[in-house]
Amino acid sequence: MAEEERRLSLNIQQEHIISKYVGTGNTDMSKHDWLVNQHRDTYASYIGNPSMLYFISIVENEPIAKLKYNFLQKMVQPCGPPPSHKQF
Amino acid sequence: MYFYNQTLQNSTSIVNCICGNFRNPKIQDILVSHGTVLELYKIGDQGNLVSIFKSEIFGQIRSMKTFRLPGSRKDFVFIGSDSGAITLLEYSINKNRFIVIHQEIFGKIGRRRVVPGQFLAVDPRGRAVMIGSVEKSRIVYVLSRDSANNVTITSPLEAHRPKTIISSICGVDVGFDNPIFACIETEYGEIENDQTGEAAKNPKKEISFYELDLGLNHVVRKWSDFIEPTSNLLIPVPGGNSGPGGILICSENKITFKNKDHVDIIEYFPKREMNEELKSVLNKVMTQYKKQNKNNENNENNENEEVSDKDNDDDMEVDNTLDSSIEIEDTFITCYSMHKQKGMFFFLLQNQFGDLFKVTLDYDEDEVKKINISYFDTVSIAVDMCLLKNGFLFVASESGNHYFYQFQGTEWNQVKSITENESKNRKQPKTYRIHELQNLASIDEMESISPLISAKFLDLNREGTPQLYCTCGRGGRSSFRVLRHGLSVHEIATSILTGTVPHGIWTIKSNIAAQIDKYIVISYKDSTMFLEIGESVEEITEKRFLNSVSTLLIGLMEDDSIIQVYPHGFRHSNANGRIREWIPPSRKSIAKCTMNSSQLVIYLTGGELIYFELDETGDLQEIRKINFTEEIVCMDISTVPSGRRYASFFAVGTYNNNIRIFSLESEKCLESVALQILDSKPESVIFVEMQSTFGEETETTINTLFLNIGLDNGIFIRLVVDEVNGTLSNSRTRYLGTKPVKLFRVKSAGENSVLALSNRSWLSYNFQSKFYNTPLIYYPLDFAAPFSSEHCEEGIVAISEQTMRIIYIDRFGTTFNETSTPLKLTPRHFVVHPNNQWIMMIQSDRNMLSETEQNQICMYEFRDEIARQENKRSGNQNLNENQNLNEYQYQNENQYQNENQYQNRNLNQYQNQNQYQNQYQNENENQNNEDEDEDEDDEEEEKKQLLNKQEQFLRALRPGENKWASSIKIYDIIQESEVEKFEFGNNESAISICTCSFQQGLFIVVGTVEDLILAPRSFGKAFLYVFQLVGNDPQMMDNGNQRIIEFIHKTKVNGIPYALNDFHGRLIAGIGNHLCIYAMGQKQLLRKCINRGFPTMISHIEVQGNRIFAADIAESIHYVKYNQIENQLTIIADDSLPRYVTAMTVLDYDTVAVGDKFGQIFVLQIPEHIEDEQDIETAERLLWDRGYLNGALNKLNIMCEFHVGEIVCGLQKTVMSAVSCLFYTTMMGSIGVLMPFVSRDDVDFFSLLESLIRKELPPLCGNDHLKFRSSFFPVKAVIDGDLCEMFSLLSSKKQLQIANKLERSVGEVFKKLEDFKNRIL
Repeated sequence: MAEEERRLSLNIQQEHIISKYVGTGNTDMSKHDWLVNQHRDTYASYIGNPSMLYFISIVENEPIAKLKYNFLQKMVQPCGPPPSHKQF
Repeated sequence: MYFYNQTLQNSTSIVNCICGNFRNPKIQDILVSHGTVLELYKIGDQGNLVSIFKSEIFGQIRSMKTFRLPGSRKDFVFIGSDSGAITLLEYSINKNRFIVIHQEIFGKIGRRRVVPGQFLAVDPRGRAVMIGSVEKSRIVYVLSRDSANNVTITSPLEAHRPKTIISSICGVDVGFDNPIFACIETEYGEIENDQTGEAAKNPKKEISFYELDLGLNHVVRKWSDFIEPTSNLLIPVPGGNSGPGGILICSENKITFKNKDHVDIIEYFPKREMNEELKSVLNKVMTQYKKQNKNNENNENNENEEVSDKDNDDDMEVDNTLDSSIEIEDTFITCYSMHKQKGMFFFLLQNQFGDLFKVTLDYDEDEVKKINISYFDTVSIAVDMCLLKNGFLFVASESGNHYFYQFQGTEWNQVKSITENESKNRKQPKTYRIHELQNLASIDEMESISPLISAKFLDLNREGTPQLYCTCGRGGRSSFRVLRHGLSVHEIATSILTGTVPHGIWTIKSNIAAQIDKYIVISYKDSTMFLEIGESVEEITEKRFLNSVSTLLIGLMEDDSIIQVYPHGFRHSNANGRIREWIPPSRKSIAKCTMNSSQLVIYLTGGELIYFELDETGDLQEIRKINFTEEIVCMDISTVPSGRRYASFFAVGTYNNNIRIFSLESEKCLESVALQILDSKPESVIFVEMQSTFGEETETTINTLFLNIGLDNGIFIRLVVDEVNGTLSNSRTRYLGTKPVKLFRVKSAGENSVLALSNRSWLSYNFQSKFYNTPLIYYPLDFAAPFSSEHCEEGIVAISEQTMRIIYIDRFGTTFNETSTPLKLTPRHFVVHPNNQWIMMIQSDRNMLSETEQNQICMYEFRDEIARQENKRSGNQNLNENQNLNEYQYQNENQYQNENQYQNRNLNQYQNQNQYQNQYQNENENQNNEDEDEDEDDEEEEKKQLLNKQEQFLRALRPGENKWASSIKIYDIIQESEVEKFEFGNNESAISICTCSFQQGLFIVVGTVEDLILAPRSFGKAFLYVFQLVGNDPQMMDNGNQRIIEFIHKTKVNGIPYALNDFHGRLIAGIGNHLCIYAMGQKQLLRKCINRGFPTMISHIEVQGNRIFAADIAESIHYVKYNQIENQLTIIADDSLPRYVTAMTVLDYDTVAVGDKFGQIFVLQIPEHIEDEQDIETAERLLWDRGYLNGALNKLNIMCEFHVGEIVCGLQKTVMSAVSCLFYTTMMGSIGVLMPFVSRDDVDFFSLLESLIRKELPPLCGNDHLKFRSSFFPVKAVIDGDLCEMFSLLSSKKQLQIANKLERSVGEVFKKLEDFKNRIL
């Protein structure tokens, strides 16, 4: 009984963590999901780091505001469309 | 190995700026965030920006908003940073700094995707604030006041929406209804799973209104609507009584007004004019250029007999397809600013080219009828803008200097803007031509070196201390700058003095209470000149001034009488005209003297000191006379402390290398109270009362009396004088120069300060609670005196040789002063000519026209302006000169024609450019004529304006994402002019440069890439260009016939040649992920050796004997050994951590310092056990030995780790003052230094001090100092001096506590800090 309860509460805890912290992995996570998550995190970090924005702005010769916009646009599907079948 | 970190110059770039009444309900100030530094500026009397507060926050500020509670007249500041907390700040006038009122923690630290901090929106009525992240999270806080009038903040209310990306947030003005926040959201839940990828190309965007129900205390998503997929920015429209409310949504090309229950009102932005004529010229220029390049290419190919005719035809076909026309990009709004006053409001919006639009609304109550957009002016591309209530506009530029403008016209808020050409249909928007500033006038400029791309400390000007040469900026706004340590000086007037060399200068006020000076007195060998300052400065003769003698000292007494001392006596002339003379005993004369406003001490030859006091009746009374056996060099009496009648101390410097302090108090008059032995003869001595301790509780400043001594060996000593008994303590010394140091009291930054004159002039002053000792970048001065007039309160009048100069200093607190030269393309790297003061830099830019194309387009577009200037100039110059010039030009061309084939390209350019060239030559010629006519000044100004306009015009001409423009430029530091240029064609981009001494002589090697595509990285061909340095002799250059670099050959390589270096007469190059050694060959470079063992790409190579440190772009440093016998390159050790290297330098034979892309500086060392001087056997073994996971066998030791917070783009070991230090520069323009510790005691002392201060002074925005410095890797062996320096900000009680724990006195701690500072600069 106690064993079952503990397992249940663990499940609830895990669900809570997954909903609270975007990007928390699970056993069914595909390579694509993981990559997408990485890329989104990276873009979000770029947007908040002025130094990095300047760096990219020089490389690409684009204004910073435009870069921020581009990154936000890319966050939707950063690694292209998902593969047709999930790879484990 | 321990280092002491000190920032010398804070970042100059601006990330956010806001304005508000932070200090005073009537005065608006500008608060600026430099990323990691918060700075507050006030607007000075002359409309200049004056920094009044600056604080390092040890974190990253991401968003800032001004916040005002209802009924309040003072503004607060909300800050969203990477600390996982929202901070509410208030400016405290008493403490002169921002203080934290509330700090609400809601998440982890760091720039995370779902932790709020990126976006911040406040309710326009000051009731609530929303802080949002890039994805999902938004938190609302409600603010109010409690009964005690304190600001209160409620617990957070969540308004999350999962799987949603947020583009912009703003607070909607709804009057005093429930507060509403609007957001642009992209819901990606469905889109991300779309397997066709179509939906993600233009994801749908929504605008959502979140209502904060103040009664129920929760947030609901009230209303939403789909909007343009390109929307990027929300602008709140004033509501309630002052406007219609609602929001403006900026999207590509158009702006939409939206509100709940309101029809959408759409208006299109006007576009820059691009008529058919311009288009055809553009096309012609570009195709011409392309063909020319292609032809060259073909010629080369034919020579090599590699290409058949058929290929040639193909090329031509490709050519035709290439000339697609340039279109003006869609308008994209980057930032905005709003002006609101009673009865009206308007917005200023900026697009990606820097054009400003004024947007107004036609409305009737809540109903908006029309949006009016008109082109306003063009400024630099801004990161953020601030419109102030009194008609000022602050533009924080993305690249280069920031500007402060004033609106023109009396009713500045009703500015007229030009009418655009009306168009018939919506699809073709209105067009406008850019114009020079019409509605704005530039009144101040804030220098900024960011984005800083590369920087080197070099002493090319042979000044003794190195200057910092740096390449900054992006595209057309890039520049080459030279920074010098010191304060910039503004010259008000100079006048050459006739006659003999002057040996003294003083200024006198008309009476003791006057603010401004009335007379300037200059003393000569046997006469004195009196100048009266009025409308102009004129020489006068007055009865009370004796001008037939050489003056030793002149000054004003407190009863407005004047004392003039000369060798044969002194005269005391009252304000009412009574003159008394004092004559020394026969055969004696006055050798030295000193005075303040009520006392006078004279020293007679033969050793007699006489002390006079001014009594109540206005007479000078001789109080005491003593015999003084030592011969006196200098003396000084301290100024009368406020509230007292007489000063109590008097200092004497003697030939016996000592300083004596005498008491002047009646009971022990002229008794020696203190003695300081010196190691050399004192040249000058002065007392100065300065603020010494700063702290939170010191509302009234505590002044300390300092004794400043200048020695004849160039050393400057500063001692604290005990105000009760006159004993000396706490000495601080500093070497200023080789000449004897003369000291003068002046005023700067509102306080007393010391001007010390040696080879250079140094100013010791206090500014924003910090003590500075900085050289002036100016001519060496001989004598100086404070000078205040109506226009400048804190001026200095000085004599340097035969010239009198009136100067003032305004940018206090700055460490570096700069000069700048504009460039047309982004400078990527530079190297220095080994024998000359020439800098060779490579420039390259994506999506830009090449310089030739730029010039040709400008020749067309600005033909009228250029013709007008040309006419003016030819009017000014005489005919002969022009003729000469033409001949010269002709010769030049002939010479070019004779040169070999590669230069055909250049030749064509020159021919195309004939006209331009002519103009350019003229300019040069003009510069040589050193006539300082006003005409020429105007001309210069006009030329500058034209260049500026050209740059603004060219911003919109974008030839395509994969088009590159690139060139090599040689720049003369001494002449400050460009001496030679080599342009690359074929869509080539130069990416690396180095000087290399092959056996045949000195060469430069440039790595280039053709058709480079950034992501995913790919390229057509890559080459190594070899140029011989031929123009070594500047004498030859004067003939104008000599080129500096001569093209030898180019070598095709298989990867991107990202890193190059000289390797003992050969070239070592990183070609993609291969490390190769090349030798010089007849037709191309010959590859001698290769190592293919690098993971990604080699970005930097440093050579130390046979040791090579090669940095991988993403995998840190590899230590490579070259084995001469086997001709092998072997990776012996690498780093255990992946790091994205951006800068590196070798510290010693074993050690290398590296900077990375995440703002980390670290030091790596080769482990001691590596025996790399091995024999062949071990070398072979090394070749086959492998470490774990494909790494090298050995790992480098990590000696130091330190997080700077900004991308490090330059690292160099150099000596600026006393010690060899590691200097670093960052992308954002900050300059810092890591100084090695010498003794273990110092390390212990500073690490204890650091940890104690860390506890006492938590950073302003909720970060933790230790966590910040350990952002990516734990900080190791580096002590943060920036934090230690904050010791001066603590209250004196806390200072004492800390000092006790350190077992030192407060003074000793200060001394230590100052000592370390002096060692660096």
